[in-house]
Amino acid sequence: MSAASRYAIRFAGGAVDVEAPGLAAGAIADFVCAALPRGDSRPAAATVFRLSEDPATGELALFQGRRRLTASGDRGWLADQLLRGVCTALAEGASAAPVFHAAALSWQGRGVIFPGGTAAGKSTLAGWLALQGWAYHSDELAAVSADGPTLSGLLRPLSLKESSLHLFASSVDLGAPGAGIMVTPHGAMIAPSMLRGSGPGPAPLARIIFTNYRADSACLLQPLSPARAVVRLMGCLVNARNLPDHGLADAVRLAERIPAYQLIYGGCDQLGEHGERLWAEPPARA
Amino acid sequence: MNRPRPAPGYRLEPIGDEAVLYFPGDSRVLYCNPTALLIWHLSDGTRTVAEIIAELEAAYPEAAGVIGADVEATVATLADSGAIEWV
Repeated sequence: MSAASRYAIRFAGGAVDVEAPGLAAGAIADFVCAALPRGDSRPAAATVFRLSEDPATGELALFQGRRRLTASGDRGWLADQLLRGVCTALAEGASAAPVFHAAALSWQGRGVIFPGGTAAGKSTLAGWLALQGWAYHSDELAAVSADGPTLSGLLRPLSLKESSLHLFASSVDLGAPGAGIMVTPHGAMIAPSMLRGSGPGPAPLARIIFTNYRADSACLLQPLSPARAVVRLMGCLVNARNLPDHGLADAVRLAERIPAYQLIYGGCDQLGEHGERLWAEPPARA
Repeated sequence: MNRPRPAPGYRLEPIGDEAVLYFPGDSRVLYCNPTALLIWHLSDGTRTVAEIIAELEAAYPEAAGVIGADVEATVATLADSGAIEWV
């Protein structure tokens, strides 16, 4: 906890600064930003979030530039809104590499990205894999550089919905949250420091697994052809407008080099039988 | 107005024996399986759909029973997505 927290967050060419004067605001900013990748604070980022006390109400208010986004006495709500804002701004500003809406983890140094839309089950899957011993890189954004290719995840708090919290019931006491847990209106955020082996740095990318959670669905893991993978990659590319040809050439190169799969699952209890296939099976092409 | 041809702006990106069609205007990307790729190449504005079907049935007589429906469905899909136009 600090009296005035400042973070210069830099990711794949995207830049966001966060300022949080005061103990209460600083504690929230520290929880959200402590693990996020940082860089030089000069030049200052064009996008600045500020979390500070509103003198009129005594509540904490979140600003983006001069625009007041929200105010609340709920720390979890403010942390959630700050994290969302930072991620959106980083994605919109990233220009150094393709950035995908994807969870990212690695197993024994081999990276896997799990692209998927909102509510595709990325965070739940990331949490489950982290509990199985995978190294956690991100549950939201993954940049993939052309060399290797190599993945760099946006290391941020794992953001779980209430329905997924049971995964951590044996390892985290949500009734008495400590420094590594932030209860939010929709569930909880778990600091990367609580996840064994998190934040190992960039990893060579070995698999692309498009993830889709469907309640009551059977588990399906099947290879995708490179062309089908390109279509899906383009659908999860969050900074297309900043890349030449909207990132098509990057997506094609990636799909031609890295085996891609589609994973549909209805619950983590189904994944045990498939878990080993995610990393142990020889690369298979569709 | 019954001959399909590629709509302006679309770019074909072959990937193995498949391809994607890319429209830079709105970064739309469409998947083409090998059959769709063949139909795309034949949709050059000089052939009617019936002529495309006849040409493919002559080249692949063993699949003659399904080619007509495949071509019509594929052309309809490409037209609905704006990837082909009619001349």
